[in-house]
Amino acid sequence: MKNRLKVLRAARDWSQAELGGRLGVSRQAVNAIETGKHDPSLPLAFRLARLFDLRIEEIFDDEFNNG
Amino acid sequence: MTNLTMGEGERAEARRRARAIAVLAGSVVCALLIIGAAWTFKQSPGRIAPAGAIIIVALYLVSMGGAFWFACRKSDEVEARDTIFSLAVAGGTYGLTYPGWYFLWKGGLLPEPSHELLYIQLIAVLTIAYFWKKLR
Repeated sequence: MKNRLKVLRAARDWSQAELGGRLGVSRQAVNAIETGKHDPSLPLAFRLARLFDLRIEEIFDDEFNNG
Repeated sequence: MTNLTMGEGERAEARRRARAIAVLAGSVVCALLIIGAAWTFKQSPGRIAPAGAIIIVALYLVSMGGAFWFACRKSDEVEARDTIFSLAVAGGTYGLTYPGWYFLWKGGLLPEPSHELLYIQLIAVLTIAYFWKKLR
Protein backbone atom coordinates (compact mmCIF):
# COMPACT_ATOMS: atom_id res chain seq x y z
CA MET A 1 0.00 0.00 0.00
CA LYS A 2 1.38 3.41 -0.98
CA ASN A 3 1.78 5.95 1.78
CA ARG A 4 3.22 9.37 2.64
CA LEU A 5 5.12 8.20 5.65
CA LYS A 6 8.57 9.04 4.33
CA VAL A 7 7.50 12.58 3.45
CA LEU A 8 5.79 13.11 6.80
CA ARG A 9 8.80 11.75 8.66
CA ALA A 10 11.22 13.92 6.68
CA ALA A 11 9.09 17.00 7.39
CA ARG A 12 9.72 16.43 11.10
CA ASP A 13 13.38 15.62 10.50
CA TRP A 14 12.96 12.22 12.15
CA SER A 15 15.05 9.19 11.33
CA GLN A 16 13.36 5.82 10.83
CA ALA A 17 14.69 4.81 14.26
CA GLU A 18 13.20 7.94 15.82
CA LEU A 19 9.79 7.24 14.32
CA GLY A 20 10.05 3.56 15.24
CA GLY A 21 10.84 4.45 18.84
CA ARG A 22 7.88 6.82 19.05
CA LEU A 23 5.59 4.14 17.61
CA GLY A 24 7.04 1.27 19.65
CA VAL A 25 8.21 -0.65 16.59
CA SER A 26 11.64 -1.33 15.11
CA ARG A 27 13.44 0.77 12.51
CA GLN A 28 13.06 -2.17 10.15
CA ALA A 29 9.27 -2.08 10.62
CA VAL A 30 9.18 1.62 9.70
CA ASN A 31 11.29 0.88 6.63
CA ALA A 32 9.00 -2.01 5.61
CA ILE A 33 5.93 0.22 5.87
CA GLU A 34 7.57 3.13 4.02
CA THR A 35 8.64 0.93 1.14
CA GLY A 36 5.23 -0.75 0.92
CA LYS A 37 6.56 -4.17 1.92
CA HIS A 38 4.26 -4.29 4.93
CA ASP A 39 0.77 -2.92 5.45
CA PRO A 40 0.47 -1.87 9.08
CA SER A 41 -2.20 -3.28 11.35
CA LEU A 42 -5.16 -1.05 12.19
CA PRO A 43 -3.84 -0.26 15.71
CA LEU A 44 -0.46 0.76 14.28
CA ALA A 45 -2.13 2.83 11.55
CA PHE A 46 -4.11 4.65 14.25
CA ARG A 47 -0.92 5.26 16.26
CA LEU A 48 0.68 6.72 13.13
CA ALA A 49 -2.32 8.91 12.46
CA ARG A 50 -2.33 10.21 16.05
CA LEU A 51 1.42 10.86 15.94
CA PHE A 52 1.16 12.95 12.79
CA ASP A 53 -2.20 14.42 13.78
CA LEU A 54 -3.77 13.23 10.53
CA ARG A 55 -6.46 10.80 9.49
CA ILE A 56 -5.39 7.34 8.35
CA GLU A 57 -6.52 7.97 4.79
CA GLU A 58 -4.35 11.09 4.69
CA ILE A 59 -1.30 8.90 5.28
CA PHE A 60 -2.20 5.75 3.36
CA ASP A 61 -3.46 5.60 -0.20
CA ASP A 62 -6.62 3.51 -0.47
CA GLU A 63 -5.77 1.96 -3.83
CA PHE A 64 -9.04 0.02 -3.98
CA ASN A 65 -11.04 3.22 -3.73
CA ASN A 66 -9.11 5.11 -6.42
CA GLY A 67 -10.19 3.12 -9.43
CA MET B 1 25.75 4.69 27.06
CA THR B 2 23.07 7.25 26.20
CA ASN B 3 23.76 9.44 23.21
CA LEU B 4 22.49 12.95 23.99
CA THR B 5 22.17 13.80 20.29
CA MET B 6 19.56 11.06 19.91
CA GLY B 7 15.87 11.88 19.90
CA GLU B 8 13.43 10.34 22.36
CA GLY B 9 12.30 7.79 19.80
CA GLU B 10 15.84 6.86 18.77
CA ARG B 11 16.78 6.19 22.41
CA ALA B 12 13.73 3.94 22.80
CA GLU B 13 14.63 2.12 19.58
CA ALA B 14 18.25 1.74 20.73
CA ARG B 15 17.10 0.24 24.06
CA ARG B 16 14.75 -2.15 22.24
CA ARG B 17 17.55 -3.19 19.85
CA ALA B 18 20.02 -3.71 22.70
CA ARG B 19 17.54 -5.97 24.53
CA ALA B 20 16.86 -7.94 21.36
CA ILE B 21 20.58 -8.41 20.68
CA ALA B 22 21.20 -9.53 24.28
CA VAL B 23 18.42 -12.14 24.13
CA LEU B 24 19.48 -13.30 20.68
CA ALA B 25 23.12 -13.61 21.77
CA GLY B 26 22.06 -15.53 24.88
CA SER B 27 19.93 -17.90 22.82
CA VAL B 28 22.74 -18.48 20.32
CA VAL B 29 25.21 -19.22 23.12
CA CYS B 30 22.77 -21.69 24.73
CA ALA B 31 22.04 -23.33 21.37
CA LEU B 32 25.77 -23.67 20.64
CA LEU B 33 26.38 -25.14 24.11
CA ILE B 34 23.62 -27.69 23.53
CA ILE B 35 24.81 -28.58 20.03
CA GLY B 36 28.37 -28.89 21.36
CA ALA B 37 27.22 -31.13 24.21
CA ALA B 38 25.14 -33.27 21.84
CA TRP B 39 28.10 -33.59 19.46
CA THR B 40 30.44 -34.56 22.30
CA PHE B 41 28.03 -37.22 23.57
CA LYS B 42 27.56 -38.55 20.05
CA GLN B 43 31.31 -38.99 19.63
CA SER B 44 31.71 -40.93 22.86
CA PRO B 45 30.32 -44.45 23.20
CA GLY B 46 27.60 -45.21 25.72
CA ARG B 47 24.69 -43.27 27.08
CA ILE B 48 24.37 -39.84 28.60
CA ALA B 49 24.20 -39.78 32.38
CA PRO B 50 20.58 -39.12 33.48
CA ALA B 51 21.64 -35.95 35.31
CA GLY B 52 23.44 -34.73 32.18
CA ALA B 53 20.36 -35.37 30.06
CA ILE B 54 18.16 -33.48 32.53
CA ILE B 55 20.57 -30.53 32.59
CA ILE B 56 20.67 -30.38 28.78
CA VAL B 57 16.88 -30.53 28.47
CA ALA B 58 16.43 -27.92 31.22
CA LEU B 59 18.95 -25.60 29.57
CA TYR B 60 17.26 -26.06 26.21
CA LEU B 61 13.77 -25.44 27.58
CA VAL B 62 14.86 -22.36 29.50
CA SER B 63 16.75 -20.82 26.59
CA MET B 64 14.10 -21.57 23.95
CA GLY B 65 11.22 -20.76 26.28
CA GLY B 66 12.89 -17.48 27.27
CA ALA B 67 13.56 -16.54 23.66
CA PHE B 68 9.95 -17.39 22.71
CA TRP B 69 8.56 -15.38 25.62
CA PHE B 70 10.74 -12.42 24.70
CA ALA B 71 9.76 -12.70 21.03
CA CYS B 72 6.05 -12.72 21.90
CA ARG B 73 6.34 -9.75 24.27
CA LYS B 74 8.76 -7.52 22.41
CA SER B 75 8.35 -8.25 18.72
CA ASP B 76 6.58 -5.76 16.54
CA GLU B 77 4.16 -6.84 13.84
CA VAL B 78 6.76 -7.01 11.05
CA GLU B 79 8.98 -9.23 13.19
CA ALA B 80 5.97 -11.41 14.04
CA ARG B 81 5.07 -11.67 10.35
CA ASP B 82 8.61 -12.79 9.45
CA THR B 83 8.68 -15.28 12.33
CA ILE B 84 5.30 -16.81 11.48
CA PHE B 85 6.31 -17.11 7.83
CA SER B 86 9.60 -18.85 8.67
CA LEU B 87 7.89 -21.19 11.17
CA ALA B 88 5.31 -22.14 8.53
CA VAL B 89 7.99 -22.83 5.92
CA ALA B 90 10.12 -24.85 8.35
CA GLY B 91 7.12 -26.77 9.70
CA GLY B 92 5.90 -27.47 6.18
CA THR B 93 9.32 -28.68 5.09
CA TYR B 94 9.57 -30.97 8.11
CA GLY B 95 6.03 -32.25 7.51
CA LEU B 96 6.97 -33.19 3.95
CA THR B 97 10.48 -34.49 4.61
CA TYR B 98 9.91 -36.79 7.58
CA PRO B 99 6.99 -38.87 6.20
CA GLY B 100 8.72 -39.09 2.83
CA TRP B 101 11.95 -40.33 4.38
CA TYR B 102 10.02 -42.63 6.74
CA PHE B 103 8.14 -44.43 3.97
CA LEU B 104 11.21 -44.62 1.74
CA TRP B 105 12.99 -46.22 4.75
CA LYS B 106 10.11 -48.65 5.23
CA GLY B 107 10.35 -49.46 1.54
CA GLY B 108 14.01 -50.29 1.95
CA LEU B 109 15.21 -47.44 -0.24
CA LEU B 110 16.83 -45.23 2.41
CA PRO B 111 18.45 -45.71 5.82
CA GLU B 112 16.35 -44.98 8.92
CA PRO B 113 15.47 -41.28 9.32
CA SER B 114 18.10 -39.41 11.31
CA HIS B 115 16.69 -37.35 14.16
CA GLU B 116 19.75 -35.11 14.18
CA LEU B 117 19.63 -34.41 10.45
CA LEU B 118 15.91 -33.67 10.55
CA TYR B 119 16.39 -31.26 13.45
CA ILE B 120 19.32 -29.54 11.75
CA GLN B 121 17.24 -29.27 8.56
CA LEU B 122 14.37 -27.71 10.56
CA ILE B 123 16.64 -25.08 12.11
CA ALA B 124 18.44 -24.40 8.81
CA VAL B 125 15.19 -23.92 6.86
CA LEU B 126 13.78 -21.78 9.68
CA THR B 127 16.86 -19.54 9.61
CA ILE B 128 17.01 -19.25 5.81
CA ALA B 129 13.27 -18.53 5.49
CA TYR B 130 13.44 -15.91 8.27
CA PHE B 131 16.34 -13.99 6.76
CA TRP B 132 14.94 -14.32 3.22
CA LYS B 133 11.69 -12.75 4.36
CA LYS B 134 13.43 -10.12 6.47
CA LEU B 135 16.10 -9.01 4.01
CA ARG B 136 14.47 -9.30 0.61
